[in-house]
Amino acid sequence: MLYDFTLYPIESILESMLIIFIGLTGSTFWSIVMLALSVRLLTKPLEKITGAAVKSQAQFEAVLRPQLAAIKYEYSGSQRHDAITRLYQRYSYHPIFAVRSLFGLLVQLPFFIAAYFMLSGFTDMSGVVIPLLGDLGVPDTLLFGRFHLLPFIMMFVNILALVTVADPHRKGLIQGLVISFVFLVLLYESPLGLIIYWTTSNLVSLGSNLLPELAKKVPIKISLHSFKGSVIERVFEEYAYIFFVVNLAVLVPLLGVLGSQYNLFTAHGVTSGAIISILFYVVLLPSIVLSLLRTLAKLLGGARAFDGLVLVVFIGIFLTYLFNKAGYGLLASEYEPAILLLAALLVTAGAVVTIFNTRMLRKLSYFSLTIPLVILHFVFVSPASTLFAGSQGERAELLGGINDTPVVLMVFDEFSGLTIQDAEGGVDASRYPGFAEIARNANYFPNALTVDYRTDISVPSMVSGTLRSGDNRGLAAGENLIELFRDWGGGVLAQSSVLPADLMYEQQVNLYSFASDTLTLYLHIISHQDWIENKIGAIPPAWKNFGIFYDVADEGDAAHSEPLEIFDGWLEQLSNNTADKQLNFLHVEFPHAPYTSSATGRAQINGEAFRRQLFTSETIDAEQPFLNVAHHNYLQQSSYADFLLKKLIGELKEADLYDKSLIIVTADHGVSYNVRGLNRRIPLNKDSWRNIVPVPLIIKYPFQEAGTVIDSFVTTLDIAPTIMDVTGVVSPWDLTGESLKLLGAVSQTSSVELTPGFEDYLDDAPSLFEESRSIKASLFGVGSPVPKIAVNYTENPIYSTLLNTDISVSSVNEFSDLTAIWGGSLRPNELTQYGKVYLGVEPTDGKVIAAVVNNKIQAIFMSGVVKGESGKFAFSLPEVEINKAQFAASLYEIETGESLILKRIGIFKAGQLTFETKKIIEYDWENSVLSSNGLDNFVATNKLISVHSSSSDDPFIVMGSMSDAVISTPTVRIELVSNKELLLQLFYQTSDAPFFAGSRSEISTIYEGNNTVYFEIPETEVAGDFRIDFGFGGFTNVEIVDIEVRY
Amino acid sequence: MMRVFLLLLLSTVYSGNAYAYLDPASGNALATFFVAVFGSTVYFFKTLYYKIFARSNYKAQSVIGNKDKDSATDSPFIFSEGKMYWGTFRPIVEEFIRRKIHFRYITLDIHDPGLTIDSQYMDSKRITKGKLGFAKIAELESPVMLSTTPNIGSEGYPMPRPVGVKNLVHVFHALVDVSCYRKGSLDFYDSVLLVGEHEIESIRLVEAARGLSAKELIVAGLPCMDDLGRQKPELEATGLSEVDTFKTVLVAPSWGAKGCFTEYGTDFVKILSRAGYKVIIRLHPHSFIFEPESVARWRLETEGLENVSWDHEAQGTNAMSQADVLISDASSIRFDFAFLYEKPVVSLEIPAESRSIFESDYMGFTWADTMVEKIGVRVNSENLNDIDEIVGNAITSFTTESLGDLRNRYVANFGRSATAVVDYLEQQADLLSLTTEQLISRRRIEELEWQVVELRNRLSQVDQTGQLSQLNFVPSEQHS
Repeated sequence: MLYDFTLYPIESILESMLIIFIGLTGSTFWSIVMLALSVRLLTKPLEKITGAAVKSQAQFEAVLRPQLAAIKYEYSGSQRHDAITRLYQRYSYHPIFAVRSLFGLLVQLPFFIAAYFMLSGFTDMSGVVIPLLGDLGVPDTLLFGRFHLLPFIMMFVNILALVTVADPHRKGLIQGLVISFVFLVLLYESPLGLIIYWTTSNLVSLGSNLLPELAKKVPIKISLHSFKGSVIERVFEEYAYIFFVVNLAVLVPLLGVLGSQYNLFTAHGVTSGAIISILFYVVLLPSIVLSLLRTLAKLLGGARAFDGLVLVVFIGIFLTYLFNKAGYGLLASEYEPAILLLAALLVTAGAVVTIFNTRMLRKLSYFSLTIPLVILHFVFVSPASTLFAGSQGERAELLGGINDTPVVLMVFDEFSGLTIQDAEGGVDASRYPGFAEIARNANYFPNALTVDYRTDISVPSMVSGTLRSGDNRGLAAGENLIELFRDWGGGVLAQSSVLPADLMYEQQVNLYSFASDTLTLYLHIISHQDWIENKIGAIPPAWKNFGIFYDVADEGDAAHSEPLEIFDGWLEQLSNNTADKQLNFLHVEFPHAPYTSSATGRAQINGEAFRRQLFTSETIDAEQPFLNVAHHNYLQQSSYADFLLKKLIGELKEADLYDKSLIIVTADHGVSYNVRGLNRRIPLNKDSWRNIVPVPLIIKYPFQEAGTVIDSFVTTLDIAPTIMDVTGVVSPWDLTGESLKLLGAVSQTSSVELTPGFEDYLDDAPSLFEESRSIKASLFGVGSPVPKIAVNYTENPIYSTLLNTDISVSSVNEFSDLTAIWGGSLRPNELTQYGKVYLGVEPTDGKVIAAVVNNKIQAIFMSGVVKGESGKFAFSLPEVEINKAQFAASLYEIETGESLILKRIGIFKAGQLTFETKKIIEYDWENSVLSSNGLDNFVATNKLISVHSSSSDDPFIVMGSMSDAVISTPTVRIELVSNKELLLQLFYQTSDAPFFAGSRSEISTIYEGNNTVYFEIPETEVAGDFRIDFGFGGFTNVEIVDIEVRY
Repeated sequence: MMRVFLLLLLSTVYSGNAYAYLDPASGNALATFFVAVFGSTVYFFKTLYYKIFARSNYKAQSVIGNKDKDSATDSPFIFSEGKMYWGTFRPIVEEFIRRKIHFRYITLDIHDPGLTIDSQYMDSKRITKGKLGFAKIAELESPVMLSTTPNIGSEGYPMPRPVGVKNLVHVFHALVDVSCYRKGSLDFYDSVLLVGEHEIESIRLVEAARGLSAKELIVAGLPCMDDLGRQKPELEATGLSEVDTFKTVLVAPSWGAKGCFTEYGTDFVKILSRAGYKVIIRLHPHSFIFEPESVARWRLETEGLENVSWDHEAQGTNAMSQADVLISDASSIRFDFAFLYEKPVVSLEIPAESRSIFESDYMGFTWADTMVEKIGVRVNSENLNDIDEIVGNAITSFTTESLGDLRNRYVANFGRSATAVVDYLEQQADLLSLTTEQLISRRRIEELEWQVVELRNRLSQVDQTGQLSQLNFVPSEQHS
């Protein structure tokens, strides 16, 4: 405890300094020397404080000593004591005052001890060989090859420093010699690095003893002297504060987070060089622009006002950031964001006033010198330093013994090991034929576990065989298969969004997306977490394309197909990889959410609201039926992942690589859709652990014939050792995992103990896995491929029997009391349909509803609460059904009683409620039709618009503006007669989206016969034409008998 | 763990100068720390021991004082900035002790010799120079406070006027008058102890110019000159004063722009040296602090000149006693020399600088201006080249007698100023520590006494006429 607050911070600072120096100089030896010099330089002021206290004490002693002697001569006993007391009183002195001189020491001693501990424990020193001196991590052996020479040199320097001191005392000299000798004994066995540190430190003492004049006039003082009063100083003092406050507000929060959350860089494929350039611009550009503006303001006489503005804005941002971070969750009130903001603003005002009143602005400029330290810390010390570190190519020769086995390591993302299993725990060949194919002549590990549920820890662990978490997480520079193979010159084809972009075979940076994401992240960082997540959503675990300033969708479906593009690109490179010895490694964010692919690979748009509600929050905030829908989405996408695997197998076979390669297929972690699990990604309890921690693991050794199922518990940490084992590499670094090649009959490998939840759940793993498989079976059935499964989302087995029932044969035409809104989602390119069900005008929960397509029940689900909103429902349909061109789904309420009764659910007409109370707009609808599309016959007569289309995919009419003026939240009532059930869609234009292509729409289902449809347009600035679309083709015959607009 | 222990053990064992491992300062810090802890412990137990067994009757007194301790707050107190003013305060302190009057002495300097005096009548205390110390002083209560520090209470000066002081008394620390003080220096003083009556006019001018209420002005003399005067025979007694055949010139410039070296350079020293005078150069101590480059230059310029020496002693008495004539500028050392050593002074004219920041701004001329010709001769750039002749003439034309008379005319109570100062302070302490009621009854007693005297006078007249001769009143001793 005491250590945490005293020595630890100093040790950390010293260590950070050392790492920075090593990063800057590339030499551990010179870094230690620089560290020693820096510590002496930095503690110089402390030495001064100590010196002043000692000097003051010496003065007292000099003045008091003769008087005390006189008193002792003159008095005795109590008289003497009284005289001494009087003397002390006159001088306002007390013998204990001498302790003051210790204050300085209290500051000194920790540096002394911290440096000792830090250097003793600095493991990176070992292995660094200094010419002539030897390994920094062990004592030197320069004396006859056995004894240590450097400690003697250290003592020699020390003694020199002793005898050259300005006014040597005999007593002090003897004491010093004794101490030197004791230190020799104490540090004799110390690592070389430590001795170098102390020797350098002693050399400083010696130097300042020998050259007192030099010590007074060190060059730095001379340069400071010439700096003082110069133009440079004035300009610096006047402008550098801008650099400080801007970067305090921008750089400090940003790098504070990015230092550990560096996935933003890896996900965007930003290389270390690019990061440095970006940092360069971020650090300098705003300050330069502001400085120019300030010069302008100065010319106009508003320099002070400008300073005030800059201070308020940037100190305000910084303090808002500080308050939001420090005060988050303290108040547990919905007003917390406002209170914290107010507090930050108050303190800002106080701070700015203080700065002006105490004329601190110029001093503030000198703080700008700390900003480079922030950057240095980020580049060299923070976890993100892993992005900048590269191996020195020194280990290549260690690979001499490598054989020419090609290695293929395919890592899926967010893919549970249980997903590919059938009810018995074998590979489910009907749903996952790709996995089944490779497992036929490979070792399948049904009980493989990930060593960490976090991608940025799990994936690096696979390519290094070591587990790094906390501040050191990420790929250990130089200690991973990628660098090992690359340094050796092998054909390395690596791609992952969580590994340093420098190591990847290809970086495709979308600068707009990156800038947008960075800005959005920055907003997140400085804002109150809950508030900002409510406003713009949480940062997704993929760390990509979440920015609010740039919509990736604008570039087509780039975001959605990105993992697939990466896969295809990798596969193409792989087929061209002709190197003798090759490592083909792909970590692809698939079947990771968001689910954008159907089981057959059609690109899908997931309902935006649904996705946001389920996948962008750290905690699950919806009832189980909704998670079951998500689970189905996941199954669809994982089914497509299997297709990719099949493609890989095919490619390998074609390239004649399949047989001779070591092929490993796995995933970084699983995923859980269990409301009791609290979180879909973090194994907080057994309900989520059983789906998140197991991962698929199939290892096909070169020329393996027979397929084997190995029930042992193994982990992803065992992958790298297996690869090394098979390729004949002796690992140059310590591996935590172990090779699975000759596993034998062990129940688990040693790294299993490192897996999350090992102590709590591993004993129950078989039964937990079993339970999970049985839930899957009740929801999604068994034995049929994913594209074909009709789904019972309710988890109630009663409803399983209803699936695929043909309702045309039963007599169900009764209408339900329920009505529903489908929120415009009933489109075949949506994977998930969602909506809200009402009883009267109130949303209602717990209603069991069936989705019927082509008279067959394809999904059964239940209404419930999502994010606190009642009456919500969601379902997704079997791929084969949803894929139909002629798509029409109807909802039926299932009433449970003696027997199950289906009642048709009508459409909730929300607009009707408000329509009557609004103002009428005079609209000549009969004469407003401007154009049409896909109509055979178009008639607009008095009080009637007839729409006839026999085959068009997209029949619509365009109508003229509802009003000359811009109107707010209008409701449009359309009365019509239709020949069939179809979707009526109303496109409208707003001030910010004046064309149909980018405009928004409302959608409603109409039925055969007479319909009255109300479209409530939620926009405040509606202007321009509107368009009515009539379903998706086939024979359409609609007669519009009235259109009325109110607002 | 063992290593931590060893390291800690080492750092404790280690005192003195194992400079290499810990820097020298921390080494000494450690040493003093253990001395301090040990010493304090011993001291504590001794105090305890004497309290219990020896029944020590010594009670710590608060020099600062507070309202509960009448004895402490009623006594006069002297405030000194440091040892450089000891010359002013020593005669006064000694006089207080001689008369067995309790008083307080507060100084900001641990080297102040006043602190070494262990007297039951003198409560002395060192107070740290700084905000905290000044705050303590501001809390002081006393009927009368004596100080030679100008500007107490003035804006921009760190030391406020203690509110609990009823009469703040100023004493000069050189033979100067208010004219050479910066404006407002004495505004917060209630009384000024004057060197002689000639100083009254300048103070009244200042009061009139700024509309200040009239200060009480007491002609008391100049204690610091008395102190110097007392050192003179002491020095002569020790035989340090050399007598030689050379005529000796003491050159003592002021520091800064007012200094004659700054104004005229050192050439006149060369002239004197060539003319066969022995020259002693004694710079103002401030010169070494504020103009070291100039000092170095002057040293270089006078190096190798025959019979030219530099005097670095703390006190100027030795140099002054050797000299036959002094060459200076506007420095007050001229009066010390002229009045104490009764020898002539050559004043090098310094062009009048702007007086706007000084009190002399209100005066047509200053007393010091009028004295130049009386104590010696005035020299300016026109006749500086004849300095050797001028010096020779001055030595012969000014006599000890004439300068002694001059001194007696301008310096009151020469050699006895402390008596006058303490008389005044004692009387004020006495008077101002009384409550209003006490004051009224005191007046009443004085009135009665006066009546008694009157009565006695009348009676004596009666006695002369042969009546009532046996009546004998004893006058009250109370007013002493």
